Amino acid sequence: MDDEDRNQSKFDGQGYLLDHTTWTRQVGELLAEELGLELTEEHWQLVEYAREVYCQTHKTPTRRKLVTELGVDPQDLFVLFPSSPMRKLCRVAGLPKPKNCL
Amino acid sequence: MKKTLLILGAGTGGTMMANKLRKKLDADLWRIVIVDKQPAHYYQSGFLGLVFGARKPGQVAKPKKQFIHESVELIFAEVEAILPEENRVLLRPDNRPISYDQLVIATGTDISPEENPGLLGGGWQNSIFDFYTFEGAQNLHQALKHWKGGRLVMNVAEMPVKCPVAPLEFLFQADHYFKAVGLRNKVELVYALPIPEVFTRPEVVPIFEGMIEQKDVKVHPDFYLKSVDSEKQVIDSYTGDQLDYDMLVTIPTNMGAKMIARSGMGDEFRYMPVDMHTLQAEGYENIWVIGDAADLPCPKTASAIHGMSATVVENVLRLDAGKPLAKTFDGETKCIISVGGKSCFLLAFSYTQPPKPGKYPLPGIGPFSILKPTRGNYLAKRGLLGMYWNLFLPARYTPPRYTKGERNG
Repeated sequence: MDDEDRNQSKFDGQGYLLDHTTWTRQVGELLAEELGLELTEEHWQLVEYAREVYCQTHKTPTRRKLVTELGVDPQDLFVLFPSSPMRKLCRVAGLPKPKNCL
Repeated sequence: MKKTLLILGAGTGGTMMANKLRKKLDADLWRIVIVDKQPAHYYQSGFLGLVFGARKPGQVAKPKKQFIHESVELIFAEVEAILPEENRVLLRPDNRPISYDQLVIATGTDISPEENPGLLGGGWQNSIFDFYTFEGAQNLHQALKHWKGGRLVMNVAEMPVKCPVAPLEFLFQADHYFKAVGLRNKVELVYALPIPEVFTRPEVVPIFEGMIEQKDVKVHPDFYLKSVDSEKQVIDSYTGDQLDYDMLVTIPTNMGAKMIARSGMGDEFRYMPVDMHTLQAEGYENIWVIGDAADLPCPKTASAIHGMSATVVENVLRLDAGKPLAKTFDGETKCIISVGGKSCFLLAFSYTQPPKPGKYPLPGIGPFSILKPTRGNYLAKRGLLGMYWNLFLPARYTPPRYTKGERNG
């Protein structure tokens, strides 16, 4: 990520955007690059959905929500965002780290 | 004609609500009805006591009827659906309707082992056990008594779960139990869970990690359960990891009552979205949600129910009087975790106050210590059982709050 983007947006210690309203697609692309992800149409669909959910509810979506409401195959989520899909998806989408809801 | 306050669910939340409201609502003006599908009330914190033989079934299960004020109408029936636009609830089997003026949803959460293929296969209750149910806890107790050792995997299938401390508490107590029966050197304890660290609150992760290491538990974080092969005794994750087990202790996916989905309400886990401070159901002025049925970012322990029920009682009265709602619920919860033997650890926090060391109930004095395993905390935990049945459920006593701010109870 170049300096200009770093300056425009502020991140927490783990690389999550602090203010989701400062997110742009370009920021999303740069964050994906940091995670070693090349974004496809399928990634973008999930990123946009996650942002929509967060804007409406102020909650990051759960994996189950993506599966039940978008009809995504859970295994595909692990292909698109390997190892920890919800953390990576939220990071790319400029949302806070999922809280795991204690 | 009397108004009706209808409560769905006679667990900790519903029972406490019924008894508190009976004291506050004029019996000449209000009828209170509570509906539940089954007659036994469980002291759920006692399930681990059943697993390790510290509690007898009769201490943790008692008839619901015994704890509900006699002037509250108790109906045993399954709810078919809520019709919120008509202010009515339909009961099975014949769709008998009950109209309400205000409704409290307290239908809790339950395990859904069917969500992961293979979990309910031939191994269920043979080599695979749960302890979130009364039956599961008793079966696990029997299985442990006859076990010769091997690899015991504690797995949490999916977050959120009712009590995120419970798997840790199970492992701490298992370590103690196997030492006591002389089997510890034949048992490998493994913890596989779908989050990056051993606990959900970062402030206490180092403490729990220290305990986990001390008790020689191997941890597999970020293990997202996909399926179980109970013939080969292997669990598979979505990331391709496999773990084999001799005994699998599972916390299956937790989900709310099916009735919530049948009513066209609730989220993907069948929990009700609510205002986190007033506990009013989102989009429904005269519906309140308490306990595990609520989609709230806090644990819904019995101690949190004290604060929740105080807020809902107040708001039932305020809504009836046309006054603005009280925004008093602050997510405060306290839990006492048994770490094995005669030592317990006390945890307390709220929406805004993270867990931090201190004394309870008197700051600086105690006698109970927060974030420190002590024998005093253990004695408090022993005493909770009697307090739960005799003081908390009948709404005779509310324990002091830990966090600062306006007192709820």
